Amino acid sequence: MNVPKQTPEIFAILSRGNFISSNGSKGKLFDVISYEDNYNILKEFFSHTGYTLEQGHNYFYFSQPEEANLIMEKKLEQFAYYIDVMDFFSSMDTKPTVGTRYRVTQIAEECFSNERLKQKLYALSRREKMVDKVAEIAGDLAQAGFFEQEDEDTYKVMDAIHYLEEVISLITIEDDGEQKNP
Amino acid sequence: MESRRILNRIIFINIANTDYSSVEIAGNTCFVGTNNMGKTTLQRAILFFYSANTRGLGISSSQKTFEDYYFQFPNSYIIYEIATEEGLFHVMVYRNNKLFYRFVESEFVQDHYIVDNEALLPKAVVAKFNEHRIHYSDQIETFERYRNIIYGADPDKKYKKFALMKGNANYHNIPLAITSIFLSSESVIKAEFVKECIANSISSKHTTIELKTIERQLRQFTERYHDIETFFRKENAQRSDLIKDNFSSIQQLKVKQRALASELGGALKYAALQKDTIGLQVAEKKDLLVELESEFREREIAHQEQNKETNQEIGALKSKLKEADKKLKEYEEKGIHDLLREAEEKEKLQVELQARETEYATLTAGFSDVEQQFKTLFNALENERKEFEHVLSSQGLQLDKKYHEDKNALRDAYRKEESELKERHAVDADRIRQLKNQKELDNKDAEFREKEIKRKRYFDQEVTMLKGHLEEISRRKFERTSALAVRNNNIDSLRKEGDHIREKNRITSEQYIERNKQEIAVLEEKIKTIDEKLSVHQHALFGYLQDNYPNWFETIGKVVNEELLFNKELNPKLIKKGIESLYGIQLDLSHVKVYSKTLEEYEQERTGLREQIVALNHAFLEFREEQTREEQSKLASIGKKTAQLKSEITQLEYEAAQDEQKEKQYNLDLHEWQRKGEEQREKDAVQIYTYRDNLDKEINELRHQLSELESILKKGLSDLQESFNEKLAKLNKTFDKEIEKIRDQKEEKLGEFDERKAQLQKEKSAVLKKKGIDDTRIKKLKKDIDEIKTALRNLDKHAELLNDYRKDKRELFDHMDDFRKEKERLDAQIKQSDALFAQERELFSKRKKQMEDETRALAESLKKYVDGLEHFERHFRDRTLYDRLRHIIDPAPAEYAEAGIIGLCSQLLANDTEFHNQFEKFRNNVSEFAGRFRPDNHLNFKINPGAGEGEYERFAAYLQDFYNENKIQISIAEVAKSHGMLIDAISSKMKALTEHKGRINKMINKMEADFSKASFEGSKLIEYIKLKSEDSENKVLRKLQKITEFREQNPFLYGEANLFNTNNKAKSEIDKKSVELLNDLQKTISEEKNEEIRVQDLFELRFRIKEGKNDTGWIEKIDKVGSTGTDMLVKAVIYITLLNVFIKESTEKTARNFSVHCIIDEVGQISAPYLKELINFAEERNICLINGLPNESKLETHYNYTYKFRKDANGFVKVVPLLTMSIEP
Repeated sequence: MNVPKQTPEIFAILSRGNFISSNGSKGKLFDVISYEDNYNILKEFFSHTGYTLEQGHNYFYFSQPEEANLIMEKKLEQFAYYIDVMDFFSSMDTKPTVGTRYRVTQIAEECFSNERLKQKLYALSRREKMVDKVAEIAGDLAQAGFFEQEDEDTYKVMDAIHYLEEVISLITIEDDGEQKNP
Repeated sequence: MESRRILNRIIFINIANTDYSSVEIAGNTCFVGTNNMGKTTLQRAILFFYSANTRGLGISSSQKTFEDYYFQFPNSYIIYEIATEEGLFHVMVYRNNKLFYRFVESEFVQDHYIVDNEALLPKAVVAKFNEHRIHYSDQIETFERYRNIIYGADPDKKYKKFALMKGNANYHNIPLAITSIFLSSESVIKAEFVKECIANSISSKHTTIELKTIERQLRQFTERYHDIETFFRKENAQRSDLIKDNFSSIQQLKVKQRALASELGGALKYAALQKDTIGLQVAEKKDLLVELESEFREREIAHQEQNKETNQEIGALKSKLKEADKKLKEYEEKGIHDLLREAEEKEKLQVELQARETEYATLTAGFSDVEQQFKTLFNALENERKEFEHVLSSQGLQLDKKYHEDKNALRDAYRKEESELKERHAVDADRIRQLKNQKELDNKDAEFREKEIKRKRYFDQEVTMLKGHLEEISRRKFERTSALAVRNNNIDSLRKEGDHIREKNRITSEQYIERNKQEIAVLEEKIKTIDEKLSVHQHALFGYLQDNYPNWFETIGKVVNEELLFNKELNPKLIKKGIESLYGIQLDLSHVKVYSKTLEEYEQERTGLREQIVALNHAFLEFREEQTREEQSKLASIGKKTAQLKSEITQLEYEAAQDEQKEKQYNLDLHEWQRKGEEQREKDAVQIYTYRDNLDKEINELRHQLSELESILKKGLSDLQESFNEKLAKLNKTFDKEIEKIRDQKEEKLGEFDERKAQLQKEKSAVLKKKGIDDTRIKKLKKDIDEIKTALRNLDKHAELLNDYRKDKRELFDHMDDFRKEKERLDAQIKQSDALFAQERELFSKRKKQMEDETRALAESLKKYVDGLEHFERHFRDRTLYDRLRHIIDPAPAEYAEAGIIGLCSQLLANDTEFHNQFEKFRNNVSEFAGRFRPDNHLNFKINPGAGEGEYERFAAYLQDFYNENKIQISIAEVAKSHGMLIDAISSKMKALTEHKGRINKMINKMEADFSKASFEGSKLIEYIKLKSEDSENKVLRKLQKITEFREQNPFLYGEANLFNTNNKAKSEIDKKSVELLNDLQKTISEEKNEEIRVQDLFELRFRIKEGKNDTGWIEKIDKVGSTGTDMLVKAVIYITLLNVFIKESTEKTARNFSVHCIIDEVGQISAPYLKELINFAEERNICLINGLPNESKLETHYNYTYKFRKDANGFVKVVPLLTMSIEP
C-alpha cells in the first residue's frame, strides 16, 4: 500500500481532533487525500490506528467508534459551547458561511452597537476587553478547526463549519408535554 | 630617499588628547605604553589611513565616534606623510562638519600648520601652502575617492602620483585584511574570516546572492502561483459558474422587480384616478336612480289621482243609474203609464165637462122658445166647435212649439255631445300623439344609440394601450433583430481578430525564439571557446608566461597571437631573461597596442557573454511577458467587447423572451378586451334592439290606439248622428202623430159637430112639430157630467206623483243613456290610462334594472380599485421593499395593469423573497469563492468582511470581467515570467558565483604555498600550516545548485508562458518540478535564515597546524595553538600570509615597490627570537609590523621605530621615540 508522503502530517492534524478543510492553509493536504484513491488507501491505513477517516463536504476528520463516556460527555459539553458560539456568529450581520472572513475588531465594533450580540458575547467569554472576548471565541473555533486565523485580526470560516452545522441540524428538541412558560 | 612607497609619518595636531605629535613609522614600529595612554588611538589613526572607514575601526557604539573623538576642534588635523621614490607628500585630514582630505605635494612642515604654537584653521593652512607655492589637491570629500587615490584606482591621472600602490578592482581586500587583522588579532581565527577575505579578493559585492530579494521574489511567485492554482481548482470553476448564474438571476430579478414596481406605480395611479372617476359615476348613477324612482313615484301618484277622479265620476254615474232604475221601477209599480195617459185626457175632459154642463143647463133652462132654444143650441154648438177648434189650434201651436223646442234641444244636445266627443277625442288623441311623438323621439335616440354602438370602439383605452404595447414590441423586435445581427457579426469579426492576433503573435514569438536561440548559441559558443582557453591556459604558453614572465603583455603580448598563446605544444623555456628581442630582432613596441588579454579580461569577457545570455533570456522572458500582456490586453479588450456583446445579446434575448411573453399576454389581453368589447356591443345592441322593438311596438300600439280613437270618434259621431236622426225622426213622427191625432180629433169633432147640428136641426124640426119635451137626454147628460167630474178628481189626486215622475223623467230617466255612455267612456279612460301606466311602469323597471346593473358593475370595479389601494396601504406601504422601490413606484405614469394592485404587490413580495433567497446563495458562493484565495491575493478576489450588497455585486461583475477578459492569462504570463526570471537569475548568479571556485582553489593553493614558507626554518616552531577547501554545507546553496542544474538540464522546456498547461504531460512535469524546486528553496531560505549567499558560502575551509607535537587536525577555527605566545605567533603568521596573498591578488602585477603596515596589538607574549623571526617573515613580504607592548622589554629592540607614550604636565599625550634605528638593516 503506497500511502502519500504527507501521511504523517495528515495524521498529526487529524489525530488532534482537527479537520482538514479544502479552503484552509492545509488545502494541499485536502487535495492529497482527495487525489485519486488516496482517501480509501488512507482510510484503510488509519483504520489500524483506531481512527476512521471520515469525509464531509470539502473536509476530512477522524472519528472513533468507541469512546469512553467521560470523553463523550466532555465532547458534548464542548459542542454545547460551540453551538453557543455559532449562535453568536449567526446573529451577526455577516453569517458564518464558508470562506467568510471576520475581523476581530470589526466584530467587537458590531457588538458595541448591538446589545443582543453583546449579551451573547458576555455569556461566552469572561475576558475584560471586548476585543479579547471576540478573539477568545474566534480562537476557540480556530483551535477546533472550524475557523482559521489568517493574521492577527482575521479569521476565516473553514469548510469544516459544515460539520458543526450538521451536528446542530441533528439536534431535536423533544417536547416533554409540559409547558413551562404558559 | 625611500626606494619604495610607504606611509612614512603620522602627525597628530590637536587630535584626541594630543596637542601635537609626529611619529615616523616607515618600518617595523613598536608602541610602548601603559594602558589608556593613546596607543590604540594612534594605531586606529594608522588603520584609518588604510581603511578610510570611520566605522570599521573597532570603536564600540557606546564610545564617541571617530570624528567626535579625534577631531574635537576645527584646527584638528591628522597628517599622513607618504614617502615615495620621488620624495614625500602628505595627506591632511580635517573636519568641517564631516571629514575632508587634501593631498599636498610636499613633506609635512610644521610651520605650515602651527604658528605661534597655535594650529591654524584649514583655510589658513591652505593660504600658507599658497604662500609657499606648494601644490595641493582639491578637497577630497568622500572616503571612497580617497581610497581610490591611495590605492591607485582613481581614473583621474593627476592623482596618480598620490597612490601608495597600483591596486586593481579588488584593492578593497587590502584595507579589509589590515582592518580584520587589527580587530581580531587577539581572538580566534575563524575559517569564516579567511573565507571572507578570499571571497573579497576574488569577487566584488554584486556577486553575492541576496537571499532576501530572492526570498521576496520567491514568496511573490509562490503566492501568485498558489493564487492561480487556487483559481484553477475544479470547485472554484464550478463556484464561479454558480456566482455567474446567481448574479444573472438576481440581475433579472432586479429588472423584473423594477418592471413590477413601475407597473405597480402605474396601477396605483390608475386606481386612484379610477377610484375618483368611478366613484363619481357610481354616485351619479345612484342619484339618477333615485331621481328616476321619485319621478316614477310622482307619476304613479298622478296617475292614481287621475284615476280616482274618474272613478268618483263613475261612482256618481253608477249611483244615478241605480237610483233611476229604482225610481222607474217604483213608478211602473204605481202604473205611471196609465196615469200619464189619463192626465193627457184632462183638458179634453174639462172641455167635455163644460160642454155637457152647458148642454145640461140649456136643456133644463126652458123649452119655450124652441127657436131660441135651438138657436142658442146652435150657437152653443158653434161656440163649442169654435172653442174646440181654438183648443185644437192652441194644442197644435203648443205641439208645434214643443216640437220645435224638442228639435232644438235635440240638436243642441247633439251638438254638445258631438263637441264633447270631439273634445274628448282630441284630448286622448293628443295625449296618445304626444306619447307617440315621445316614443318616436326615443326611437330616434335609440337609433342614434344603435349607430353609436355599431360605431363605438369598446374598451378603446385598453385596446389602444395594448395595441400601443404590441406596436412597441414589434418595433423593438425589429430593432432587436437588426441589433442581434449586428452584434453577432461583431462577435464574429472580433473572434477572427482574436485568432489573427494569436496567430500573428505565435509567428512573432517563434521567430523571436529562433533568433534568440541562435544568438544564445553564438554566445555560448564564444563562452565555450573562452572556457577551453581558460581550461588549457596553465599548460599553454599563456600559463607559462603568466608564471615566469612578468610584464609579458608589454613585450610578447604585443607580438603573439591568441592561438599561439593557448597552444599547449610549444614547450616554452626561458633561455635568458631580459633580452628584449624577437628571434634576435629588436622591436620598438612602445606604440604597439597590446592584443593579448589577461586572465581577468577573459573572465570578464566570459562574464560579459554570460550577462549577454542572461540579458537575452531576460529579454526573451520580457518579450514573452510583454507579448502575452499585449496579446492579453488586446484579447482582453476583444473579450471584453465580446462579453459585452454577448451580454447585450443575452439581454436582447432575455428582452425578446420577455417581449414574446408580453406579446402573448398582450395578444391574449387584446383578444379578451376585443371579445369583451364585442360581447358588450352585442349586449348593448340586443338591448337597444329590444328597446327599439318595444318602442316600435308601442308606437304601433299608439298608432293603433289613435286610429281606434279615430274610429271610436267616427263611430261616436255617427252614433250620435244616428241617435240624433232617430230622435229627430221620432220627434217628427210623434209630432206628426200628434198633428194627425189633432187633425183626426178635429175631423171627428167637426164631424160630430156637424152630426150634432144636423141632429139639432132634426130635433128642432121635431119640436116644432110636436112641441113636447125629451127627459132621457137630460139624464144621459147628467151621467156624462158626473163621470167626467170623477175622472177629473181622480186626475187631481195623482197630480203630485205625475209631477214627481215628470221631474224625475226630466232629470234622470231621460239622461240614463248619457250616464251609461259617460260611465263607459270613463271606464275605457281608466282602462287606457292603466294600460299606459303599465307601459310606463315596465319602462321604469327596465331602466331601473339597467341602471342598477350598471351601478353594480361600476361598484364592482370601484371595489377592485379600492381594495387594491387599501391592500397597498395596509400590506405594502410600510414595508422596506416599498422604501427601496419608492423611486420607481412613485414617478410611474398611470397605467392599467391586468394583474391588479394586489396581484402586483404579491408578485413584488414574491420577487423580493426570491431575490433574497438568491442573494443569500449568491453571497455564500462569493464568500466561499473569495475565501479560497489568500486575503491579499494578486487576482484581487477580495470581499470586505461585512460588505454590503453593492460590494458583492461588484465582486461578481469583476469576476465576470475577469473570465470574459481571460485576465488569468496575464497573471499566468506574469507568473511564468517571474518563474523564468527567478530561475534564470538564480542560475546565472550561481554560475557567476561558482565561476570563482577555480580562483578560490587557486587562492587557497597560493596561501598554502605561502604557509609552507612560514615554517620558520630557523626555529622549526611550526612544522606546517595546511589549508584545504571542502564542498559547502550550506543548505540554501545546495537548493540553489539544484535549481541551476535543473536550468542546465532544461534550457528551453521550463517556464513557458503557461505554467498551468496540463495538455503536455512532459512539460507539465517539468513545470511542476521547477515550481517544487522553488518552493523548496523558499522553505529552506526561511528555515536557514541566511541573508545572502556569498562566495565564501561556496566552500568550507579547514586548517591544520602542527606546532611541535601539537597537531590540530582539520579544524574550522584556530582557537588555541600551543601556549599564548605560540598561539599569537601562529596567528600573526597566518595574518601576514593572508595579507601578503591579498596584496598580491589586489595589485597590478608590476614590480612591487610599496610596503603596507600590519597592525597587531599586544604582542608582548611572543618571545624575542620568535618575534624576530616574525618580523623577518613580514619583511620578506614587504609588510611592516606595528605592534603594541604594554611595558618596555627587550622586544622593542627588534623594531625599526620604538615609541613610548607619556603624558606631559598639561595632560597631553606625548609620543617619545626611544630609539630610531634598524637593528638589521
